[in-house]
Amino acid sequence: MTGIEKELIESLKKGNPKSFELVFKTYYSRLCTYAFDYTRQLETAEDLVKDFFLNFWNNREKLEIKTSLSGYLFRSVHNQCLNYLEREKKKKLEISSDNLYLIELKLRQPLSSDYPIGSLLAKEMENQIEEIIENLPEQCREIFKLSRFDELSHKKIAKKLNISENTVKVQIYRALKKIKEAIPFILAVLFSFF
Amino acid sequence: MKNNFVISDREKEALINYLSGHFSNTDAEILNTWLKKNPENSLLTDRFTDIWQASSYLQINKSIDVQSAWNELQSGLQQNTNNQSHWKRWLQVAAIVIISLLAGGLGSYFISHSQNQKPEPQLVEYVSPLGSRSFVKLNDGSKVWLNSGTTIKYSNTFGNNNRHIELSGEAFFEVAKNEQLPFTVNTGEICVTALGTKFNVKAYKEEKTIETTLLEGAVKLESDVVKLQDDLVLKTNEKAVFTKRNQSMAIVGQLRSENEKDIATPGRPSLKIIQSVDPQPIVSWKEKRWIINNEKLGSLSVKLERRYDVNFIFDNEILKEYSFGGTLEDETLAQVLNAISYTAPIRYVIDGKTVYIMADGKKMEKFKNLLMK
Repeated sequence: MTGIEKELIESLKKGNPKSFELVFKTYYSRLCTYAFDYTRQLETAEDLVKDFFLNFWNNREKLEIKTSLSGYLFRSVHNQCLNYLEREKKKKLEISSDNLYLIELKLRQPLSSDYPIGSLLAKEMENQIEEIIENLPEQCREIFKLSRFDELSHKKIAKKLNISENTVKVQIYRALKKIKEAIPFILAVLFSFF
Repeated sequence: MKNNFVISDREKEALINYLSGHFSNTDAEILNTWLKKNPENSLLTDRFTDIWQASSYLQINKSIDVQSAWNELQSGLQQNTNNQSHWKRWLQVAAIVIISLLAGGLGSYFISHSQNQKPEPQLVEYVSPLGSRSFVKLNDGSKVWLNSGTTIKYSNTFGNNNRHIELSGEAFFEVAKNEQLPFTVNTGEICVTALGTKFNVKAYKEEKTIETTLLEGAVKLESDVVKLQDDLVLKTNEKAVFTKRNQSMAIVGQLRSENEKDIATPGRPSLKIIQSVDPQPIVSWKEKRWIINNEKLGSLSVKLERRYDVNFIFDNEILKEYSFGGTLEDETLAQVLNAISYTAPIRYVIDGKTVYIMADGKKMEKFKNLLMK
């Protein structure tokens, strides 16, 4: 943790609203992006993150951050997301069984116990990732962008590009593999932080 | 991940279906079996999830209105808290900050004042906008010159129990002596520690390098992000050039006489120490006299963009390769461009905040003739 980060946490604990605003505005969108992966609805994701910040501020005096501020925020929102999924699970009569399998597995994440969740989001890696995506082979790039940026289903992408659904998935896997290979050292460095 | 890592096409499909949320009972069975086979499989899934989430940030960020979320949260808090006056004071502070931003010529002062209370640690932020440079004298007597487009942040307890500064952009530091409290400048990638010295740090986010030049005394370089050699100390008239790399990796810390070959493997961040540099051209940005030492128009234009808050558009990339040297004394942008166009075959047009640089055919001929002779 940097000296400034310690100061910031101290001033949060003492109730300085400017510090709170700074933290909120820095991390809000990032935390919502993280929560979106669990809720699949942006509005729900935003509500979860707002709820978290409300609690965070109301309990500021008891705040204890041992690792880093961003690590703490992502871990907390992660827990908030798990609570949300637990509630969804209880409503299982209303949700389809496929969704239930997804929830079951999501509840187990991170699958490796010491994985620093949300580390790429916390470290503002999106521009680097975008650059790596731009350098992917043409078809691979196009498919990955349609999937991630336009949120198109595999079926729609296959139809749009006149290819098989299987090709779509193979290319998405390829893209992820290439991105992962381009940033392994960053993750290795991040591991030591959390 | 190389050792006995195996994934079949069907397992890949299940993994992608999981990430994208279209996940069936069969997918779940296949993925769960695969995950149990090898702990590496869990790690890969976690990493893919991480990439999956981060790659949607730019898109999702566009749909999020942080300010209105903030306003909503504030009203939510107002209902929750008894201490309403606290929030009213906050609004006043916000108003003060906005006014000072509007009025801001030099630095904007970003701090909330709490009355009738013991001072609490708060963040102070100084911004030197594009097109202007500024000067700040800190509590401990140290002086800081900020180049255009530079921000520094520090706590209002600066000088009492710490001397930490965060820097984005370029600044020159004249550090007051205090052996008890080290003076640290953190740029994110590189952290410079000094006791009482003069040094320049250039760390613009959009640039590929972070450059630290020492004019007097000694400073220590450290990094939170990459591994540097232990006790990396810079001496007078030395310059450390740290090359960032988006595929940030293990750092090759290299000192002076050591093996030159290992420096700067392409694609990796690297740190190079250059000895006996002439620091005057490097720090002259803070003076009226601005020394340009045989610099290519490409990189010079970036400095001019910040100094005069304009954008350069080159008609032809080749024009960026022309070098230019000289001393400028508080010139206007047009005067600087005139001076440059004397020595290079270029023409320029200033249109509001945009500067167009074009090849000058006639001059080009003249230059060629000179070369032929």
